[in-house]
Amino acid sequence: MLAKVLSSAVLGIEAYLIKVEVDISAGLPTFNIVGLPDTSVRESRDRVMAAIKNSELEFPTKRITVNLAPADIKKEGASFDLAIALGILAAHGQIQPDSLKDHVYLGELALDGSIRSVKGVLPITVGLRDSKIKGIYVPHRNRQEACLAENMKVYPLKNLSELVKHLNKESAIKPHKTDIGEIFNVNSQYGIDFSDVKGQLYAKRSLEIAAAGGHNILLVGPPGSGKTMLAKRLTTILPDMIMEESIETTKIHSIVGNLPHNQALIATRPFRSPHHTISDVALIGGGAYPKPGEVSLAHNGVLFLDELPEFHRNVLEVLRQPLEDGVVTIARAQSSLTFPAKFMMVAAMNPCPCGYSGDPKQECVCSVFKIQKYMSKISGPLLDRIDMHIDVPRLKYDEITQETLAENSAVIRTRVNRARIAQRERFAEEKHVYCNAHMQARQIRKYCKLGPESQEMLKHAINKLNLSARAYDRILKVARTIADLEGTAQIQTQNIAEALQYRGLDKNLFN
Amino acid sequence: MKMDSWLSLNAVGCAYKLALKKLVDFYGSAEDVLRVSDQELWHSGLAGKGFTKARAMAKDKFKLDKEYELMDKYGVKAITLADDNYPMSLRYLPDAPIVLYVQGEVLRRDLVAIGVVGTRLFTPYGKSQATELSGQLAEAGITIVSGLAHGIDTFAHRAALDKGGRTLAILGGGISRLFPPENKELARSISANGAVISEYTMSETPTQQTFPLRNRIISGLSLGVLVIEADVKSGALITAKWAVSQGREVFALPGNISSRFSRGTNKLIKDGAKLVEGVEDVIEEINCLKGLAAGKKRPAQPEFAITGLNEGEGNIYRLLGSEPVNIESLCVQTGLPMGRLSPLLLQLEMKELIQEVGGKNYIRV
Repeated sequence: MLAKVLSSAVLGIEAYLIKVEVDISAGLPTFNIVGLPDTSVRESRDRVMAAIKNSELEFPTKRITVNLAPADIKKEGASFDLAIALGILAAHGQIQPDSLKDHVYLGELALDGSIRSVKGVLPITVGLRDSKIKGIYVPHRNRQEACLAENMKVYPLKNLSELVKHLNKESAIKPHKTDIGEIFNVNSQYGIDFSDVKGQLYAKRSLEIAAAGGHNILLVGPPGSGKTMLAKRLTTILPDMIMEESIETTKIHSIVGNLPHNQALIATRPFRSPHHTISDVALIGGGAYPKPGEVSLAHNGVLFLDELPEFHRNVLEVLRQPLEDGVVTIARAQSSLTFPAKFMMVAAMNPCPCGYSGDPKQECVCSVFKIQKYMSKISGPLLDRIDMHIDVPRLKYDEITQETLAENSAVIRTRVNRARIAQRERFAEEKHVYCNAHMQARQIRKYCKLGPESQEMLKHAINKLNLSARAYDRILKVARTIADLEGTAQIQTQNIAEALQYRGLDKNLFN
Repeated sequence: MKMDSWLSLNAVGCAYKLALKKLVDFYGSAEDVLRVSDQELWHSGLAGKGFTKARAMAKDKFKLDKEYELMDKYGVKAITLADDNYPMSLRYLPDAPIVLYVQGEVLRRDLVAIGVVGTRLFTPYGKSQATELSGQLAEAGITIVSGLAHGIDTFAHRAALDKGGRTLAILGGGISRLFPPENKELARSISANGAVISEYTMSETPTQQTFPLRNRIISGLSLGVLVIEADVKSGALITAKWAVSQGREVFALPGNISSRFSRGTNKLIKDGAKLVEGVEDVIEEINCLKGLAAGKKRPAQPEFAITGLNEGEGNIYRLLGSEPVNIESLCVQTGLPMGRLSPLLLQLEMKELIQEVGGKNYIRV
């Protein structure tokens, strides 16, 4: 007898249907899976066999052939276990074949017949939402995540025998319902706040501007000055996440399977901080079955690169394309995939190898040559994509302990939101430009016009402070953001002056 | 040709540089030193087997035509002990260099010179004082002699040039192997307003051994040596040692006792070097400079002499001094929000009243 069951898998971040065909015929008892399965799929034979037996069902001692179609795409993972088991049971006549129609089955089987959680459930439910699929059966653990795709019937499953009874109409599993808005609200609270940081007013102001304009930023400071602490809190002042962004980010995290157990939706902006020993594939994504990398996991959030000069050169260079395009394209011999990667980059480094150059209290012991070598590890093209470089000084004891009230994230976020709204209105007609940081030369000329006085001041400053020519556009962009924060239509002279303060590395302080 | 033998003899390598002058004095000329037999040299007691080996090597390996070619390419002239324009101040030193490669010109007025030396690493204080003192010395018509190294040396040269003065840079290697390479541009301006000088052959690589030796030329060419900032083990202190043995004055800039960069200068003062608080301290000490110094007292800087500042700028300016102040504490002290303070600081910086010294710390200029 022949039976067909639908399952689904993810390629990149897109879902596609997989037809599991099972044929049982007379002959010596064998069990074969075809259709480019990888080891984890082939091993499902043993899991399926044990799970069926342990669910008080009968495993047919006949010749069983399982085909996963389309046959030309490689299959991996354990999420087809359930569909294969159902196919066998249907082909053997233990389930009504008609009851399986138009539904998709996902789940990994344990040997005792219970159903384990799988990766990538959200992209599948979102992807199948608009097809003629009537409902989806998912592991109990994944039910919340699956429900995030509206208008999709989601059946949570605990074990195989329960499902068989449901399909044979002996008992019924109720579709899971959830309030998405509620989940969103519960999860959109941050556990940290900007007011946790004492002092560092200059750095805080810089981060506010960076958040308001979406500018990439480089923090330069001695060890222990609080660079990491500041960067972590940047997520809390970024504009509020909207539902679409939240779902997009959750999809990517679902594929790699790192959604927290009790949290179905990522409603706070992600903060990713890969260690500097990371490989280029881990950073931008890849592998035999391409998986999203850190840049995609930081989608709609912050990618924090601590100790920037310690990263391998080739790793930093691969960052250039996603920084520019907001997506990562991974081309392999088999296929070419695109992952979203719209993130704000925050990098941190010491001013010199020992860390104390420019520190008023502790003297730097690095030679000039060493400092130059350290700085030269960051390539010009990468530095070109960073609009602001700021100094984060070490605080004295009394500055850390002082009890002045610092602004909390919510207050700062209101200002940031306002500046972002102004930018969205401005760029309504532009394609691919949503905030000031995305402006290209043409838009800079169009939207960052200076009065004669400001023009004069900028020209003067570039000559006097030895600023490089490439700094010019960046200064204009940052000045535009400062003006947006203040709510003025025209860039003022003092906006330019302030923007100049955020170009620390352009000022040649070593000679 | 005479020049050939001077250059060949000078190519014996840095281990024998200090003995060359004595040999030339003893035998009369470079030609004679090259000609006499090994045995005769050994008997003279002025040179050993090492020297004769090096001499043979120099005779064999040193390519004169290539040397002349390089000198042409870099616009370098060689001055030997036998030349009339060999600097007077060096001529009578027992270990004077026998040949000076000169890019630019050494004038008579360069006899009135002060060496300004210090470490490659520096503090904001060292930087501003090196610039200030060298600038004022140059303005008084004194030539600044230094070593073209990173840090204090660079500031000394640059200050002299900025004030339209003359400056001599003494290299620790051949002129075609300029070190550090970042200072190529600076070296070019120095050779136009003074000279870049080396006792080493055009293509000699600078090494750990060559630098301390060139320090004797810095002190030798100067009437006195001013040490700006130095640790207890540094090239600047070697220069001071040379200066003492050559009978030159030693001046030292006092520094913070807790600063590693002032340990050397403070030690010099303890040992009897003259403490320098201003350029007049240098000028006063050297007799022949007194005429130059007439009326060159440093005017005390009036507190609010600077006009054209608005209220915010004035408030900030008043809070700053020669000790770096962080932007953080400025923000607290002025009570201005960061968005107001930053532009004001930049504007003050553009008016050249204040300066950022790294890590968002500011000082008055």
